Amino acid sequence: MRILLGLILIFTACSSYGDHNWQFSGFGSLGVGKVNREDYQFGEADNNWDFDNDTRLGIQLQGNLTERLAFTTQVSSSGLALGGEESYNPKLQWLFLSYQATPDLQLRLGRLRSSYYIYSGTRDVGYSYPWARPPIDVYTYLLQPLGNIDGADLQYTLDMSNDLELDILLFVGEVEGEIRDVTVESNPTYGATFTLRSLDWLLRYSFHIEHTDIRSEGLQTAVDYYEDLSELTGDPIFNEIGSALYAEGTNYQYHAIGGQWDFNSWGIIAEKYWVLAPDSGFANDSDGWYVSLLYHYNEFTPYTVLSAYDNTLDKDTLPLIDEAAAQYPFAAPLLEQTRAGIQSFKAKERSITLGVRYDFMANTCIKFEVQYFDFLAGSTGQGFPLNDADPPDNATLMTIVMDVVF
Amino acid sequence: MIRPIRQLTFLLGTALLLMAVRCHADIVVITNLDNPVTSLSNKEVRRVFLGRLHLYPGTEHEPLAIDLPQGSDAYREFYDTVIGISQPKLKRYRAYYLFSGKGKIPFMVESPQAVIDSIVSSTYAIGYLVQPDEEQLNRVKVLYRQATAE
Repeated sequence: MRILLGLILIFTACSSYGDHNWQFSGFGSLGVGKVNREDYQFGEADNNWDFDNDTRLGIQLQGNLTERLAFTTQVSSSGLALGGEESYNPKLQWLFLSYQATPDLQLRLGRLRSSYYIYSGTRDVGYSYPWARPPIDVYTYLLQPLGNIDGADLQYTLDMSNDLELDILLFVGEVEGEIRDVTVESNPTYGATFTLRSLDWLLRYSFHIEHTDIRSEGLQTAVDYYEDLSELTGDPIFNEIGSALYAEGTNYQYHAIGGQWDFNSWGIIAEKYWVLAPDSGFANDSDGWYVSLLYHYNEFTPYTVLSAYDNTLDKDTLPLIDEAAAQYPFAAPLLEQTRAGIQSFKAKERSITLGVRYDFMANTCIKFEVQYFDFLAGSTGQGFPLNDADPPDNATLMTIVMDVVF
Repeated sequence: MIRPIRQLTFLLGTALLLMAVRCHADIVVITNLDNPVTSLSNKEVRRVFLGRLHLYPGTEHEPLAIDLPQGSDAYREFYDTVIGISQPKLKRYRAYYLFSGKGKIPFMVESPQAVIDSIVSSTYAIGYLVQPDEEQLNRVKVLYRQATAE
């Protein structure tokens, strides 16, 4: 209600500012996808052609309150629902006031998109990138519900010689989201992004420090049991095992480097990230990368992507589980469940993608894409097996998506 | 004998003069007569139309960029020649810029006359014309000129 009231006040202020002040725009993607096997699901895609994985719609309104003070708001709705929300629930992606303090310095306050990677800000806007979706081995499903930050940022642009510019973005705020039944809250989260750009290329580095609480309803019962067991036996080993199932004020570091280069009709885009966690507690180490090569031929842009993803939850806890199981056989069922829970976070995959983008009319394109996944280390990557099947070694995801901006 | 030579010289001179005028006035970037800014460099023009120049140099005023329709010849010529960005790249850039919270993109009007009308009615508006006639330029101030490749 307060947000609505705020928006009405802003609209009123904007309408008195100037004839060309309003800029209403939008974007949409209508996607259909299918996995080639019946025993595996990737996002919302399974063995039946389904629209939910890559279908999105968003609207945006921008305007000036004064010459230097502007506001932006964007709401989008996606068929892909990884958190506790239903598919196609509208979500507020941007709602901020920006103040242009000097020609080179801008401050923003409100709800912002996180700036982990090159396309983090336009992840829902299919038209802004060449692929059906940003490469999932870097733009991971794990981070998707954490894509917004409530806080402030400050952007300074340094105009350099030879058409070079350096953008420095500093930000602070809080992040909150859900992934399946896991709730993640990071407060504060802060960091910086550095982007060196010319007309034909850019280089980028970003880091986030996130002071994070992670809790899962499903794992909380086990955490309680471990605390009781530790008290009962007087052995701290159970507390140590239990502490691997949640995080409280844990500092996670996210680092990402990326680059983009256009040379005549060719283009190359590459990014790599690392998530660094402390050695104890809910220690989720993760890294991934992709390299994409593109060729622009009239309205067609064929492309390929090579990528990899590796995620591990607290390797150090598994030896403790072995030790506790040997010492306290009565606790073995709980310990085995915990081992399975920890191993379910293990994800290692390599993938290769082939696709083509066809810009067949103004502001509209269609993409055809095939992505082949190779699953390693007994994991099923970022998807999961269906019908109690054994984990598959590989899977292929086919996608057709039409993107539009207006 | 002298008369035909004089006539030929006159015709040749006139042709060269016309060619020179045409070459030097092919693309112009214009603003309101009351805008205190008197000129912009090519780099500044590029930054305005790519949304990366938030205030006019030396002022505290935001440029209000005016665009011609995406499919028009003037639009293509301006972005190819002055901005130096291909049409497919510009489309992706604009979508990326607009929806990543960086700012507004140029406001589109339907015709060169509408560009002039918008500029006349707004002090800090900035637009472009391709091969304008002198009468069109009487009501506006030229900030930047560039000849086309023709």
